[in-house]
Amino acid sequence: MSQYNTDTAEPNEVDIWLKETFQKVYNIEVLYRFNRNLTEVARDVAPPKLDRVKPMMEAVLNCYIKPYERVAGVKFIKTYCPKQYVLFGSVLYNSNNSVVLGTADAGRQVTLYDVNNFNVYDVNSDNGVKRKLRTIHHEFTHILNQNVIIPTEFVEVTKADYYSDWTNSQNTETVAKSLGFVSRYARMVYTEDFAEMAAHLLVMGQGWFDSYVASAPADAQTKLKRKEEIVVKYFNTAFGIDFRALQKEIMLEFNKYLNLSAMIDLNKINRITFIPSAPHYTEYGISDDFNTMWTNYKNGMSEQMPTGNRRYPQDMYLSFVSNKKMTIYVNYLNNAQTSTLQAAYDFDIDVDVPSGEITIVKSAEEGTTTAHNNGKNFAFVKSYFDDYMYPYFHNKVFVAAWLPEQIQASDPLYGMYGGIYEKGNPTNYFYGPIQYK
Amino acid sequence: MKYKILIYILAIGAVISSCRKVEVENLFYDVPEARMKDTLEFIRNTLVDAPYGWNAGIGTTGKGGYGFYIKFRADNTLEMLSDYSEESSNTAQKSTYRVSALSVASLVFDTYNYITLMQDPVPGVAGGTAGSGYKSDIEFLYRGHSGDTLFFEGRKYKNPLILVKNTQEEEQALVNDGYKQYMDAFKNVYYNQYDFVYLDADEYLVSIELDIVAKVAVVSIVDKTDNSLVSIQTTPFYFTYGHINFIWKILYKDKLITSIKYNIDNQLKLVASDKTEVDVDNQIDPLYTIESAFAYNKPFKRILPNAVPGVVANEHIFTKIRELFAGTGRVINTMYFAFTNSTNAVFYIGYSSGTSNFVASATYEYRRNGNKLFMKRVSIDGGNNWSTRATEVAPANALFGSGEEKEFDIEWVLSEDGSVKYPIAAIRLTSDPQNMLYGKLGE
Repeated sequence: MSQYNTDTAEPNEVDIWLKETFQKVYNIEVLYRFNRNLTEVARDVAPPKLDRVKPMMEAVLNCYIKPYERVAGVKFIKTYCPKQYVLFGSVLYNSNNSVVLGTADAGRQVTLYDVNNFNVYDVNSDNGVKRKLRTIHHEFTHILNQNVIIPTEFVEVTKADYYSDWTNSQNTETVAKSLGFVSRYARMVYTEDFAEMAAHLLVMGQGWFDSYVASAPADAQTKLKRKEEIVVKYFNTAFGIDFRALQKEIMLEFNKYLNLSAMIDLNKINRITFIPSAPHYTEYGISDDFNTMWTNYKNGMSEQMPTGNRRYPQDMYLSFVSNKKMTIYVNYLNNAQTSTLQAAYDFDIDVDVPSGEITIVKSAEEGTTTAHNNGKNFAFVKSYFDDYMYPYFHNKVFVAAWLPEQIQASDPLYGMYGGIYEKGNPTNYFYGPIQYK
Repeated sequence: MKYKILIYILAIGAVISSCRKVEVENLFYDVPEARMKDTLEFIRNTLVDAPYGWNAGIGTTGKGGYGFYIKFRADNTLEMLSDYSEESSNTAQKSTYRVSALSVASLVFDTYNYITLMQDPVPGVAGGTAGSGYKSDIEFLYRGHSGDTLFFEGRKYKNPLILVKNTQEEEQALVNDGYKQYMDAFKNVYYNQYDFVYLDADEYLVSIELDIVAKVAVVSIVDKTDNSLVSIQTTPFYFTYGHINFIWKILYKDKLITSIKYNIDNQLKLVASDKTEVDVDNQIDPLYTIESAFAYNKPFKRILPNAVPGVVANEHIFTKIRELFAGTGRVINTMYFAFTNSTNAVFYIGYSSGTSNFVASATYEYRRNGNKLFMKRVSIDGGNNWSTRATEVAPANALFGSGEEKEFDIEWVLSEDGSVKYPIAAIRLTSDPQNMLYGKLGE
């Protein structure tokens, strides 16, 4: 009957590469040529661009298959990896206009959508390597769960707060976080919660997760840490996988994509966050000069008289709005300590990328957003900014760097943290987890 | 025992008869698999066996037509240009394709190229609706061939894909930015030298309006005895080097019109399927009377809100109202004026503020005598929004009043802008003719 094979195509370079790399080694078939029957048959989905197929599958190989192979062994990955990958160029639309980025069917097939927007040079954005790999790891966690079920104690942690209508506008990121979920989608059902937890821990990294936890309310912190503990234990008891080692392997692969230079390019950075309770400050330390400034600022505001004026600073971040503008945001609790408000202050900056030098000067004119207006409240808020934060930053030259110094280029955490130190006075520095543009 | 024997006998009989080959006459020349294989091979070989590539055209359900230059190669790859945009007319795109049996032999554009742009369900890519884009296909079922032409049909949206072999000359032109050059040249002739283009078919006129941006042609049949509009149809079209090709043919006398072009003297010519050329006529005014087209029981009931350049008036009331709403942070989603029945007309505005949707509309009672219109406002609907948005709907109130009967004239107005090729209807205040509501007509 082979003479009647009605669906054949001449193998091209991509086909040959896929066959040699995936089919021969792992028994994985990768289908990228459009076939309506491999997705929702009645919906419209665009096919992938030919030139995105190889980079997409290279990322799958490097940041998913290889790390598992190194940590859990060849037999493990050959046994459990999905046997068919299907690629589509666009997202898949649901009837409510929400979109599907990936699906895993019966532990056998993983379908990846939106491959046309995949961009290896843009590691952290929505179309970058990390976002796509989060889908891959999310789907693979489902496959693992189909082989060894999720421990019941995981289901108990946030049992009351699962919410199947997770795209509802009421389920904001803030709400999901305050209830002890790692993402909005995690609220859907416990199986998705487990997959989201594992995927975020593996792809976003421990540093990201710790900061996420540190910025959550106390009750949510406990729940998130409990879930983390169960996930780590599950990988070990169910499959004998050292989850921490796996995390490291994956991080090192991402850092190759980041192609981190010795210098930080501030123009590529969205924000650097300081959350005082975050564990990295315990592990790697904190600059005395900065800590003194923050403590004075915080205590000044939260111990002022009369007591009705008191506001309670929690954390802050530097937002690099453009190569000429930086805004400092401070999150603080209101007097009743029932809600979080933001104060914002604009600075003019001048960035010299080759040397990493950044000159910071307070902007003459303040912004007009709600946060900026909060920041102008002289009695409660602004006077403390004027006394402590303003002299710390204003009219100074800092140097951008991968801080803390203990994290060297060979470390999987390299690239996760960064900050600025005062030029000529490197013991005065500010650092935290980086959010890239 | 008797029964058992009987059963054995019957069973043996059944076995013997089922083993016997039933001789049926083979109506076709071979088994289905072999015939499918033949068809697939015919299409594969034909596609590749075009030394100068193919000139392809598709229609879409959500927008107009699109033209493509495609060179198919035996290794299942292709190269493509398109009249989709300036970039697509001079930047070749490579992709794969395959000829495969879906329900019938089919041509599938199975990785991304210019044809998949129209099929992409993400509106941010080419346009259209979220989830369906321009409602177009990338799987095309083979429907037949004729001479140098292959005919396919979209699997889901059923629009045609027509492939015609290029000549060497055509290929040379297309790969040297031919799409853009021809589009620009055609626009120049059509916009600057023509107004309302038509064919005279003795008893009736065939009016043809081309929307070059949307790539849709509106074909209207007009009764010559009283210049009334008889019917309207549309067809998508696409560019080639040298022609605009209609996706659906236009019947004129005993000919089928397939395309339109301009000649060396910059005159438009229609081309029939038998390759004969037909001259077109032109006039400044629309071909049919406004009363035969625009009324509650005629093809057009509405005036649409889209801005029309080049009309002399105090202001374009729809645009002004849209601006006023936008000034308050409200976005208008739907807006029109319509004759709803023989006595009532409505000015309708659907708008949103944040995530909530609202309607502000006013209902008018009218008497119409030919093109004289007497109209007064009788109610406001959709809650009290017409009153709460009084400042924003003021231009409508200034024309149509807030209860008193006013006298209007319904007439065609002309645009000085050459790109406007459709009739523009206006409702003018008789006492102040520059105060008017005007726009393109809608169903």
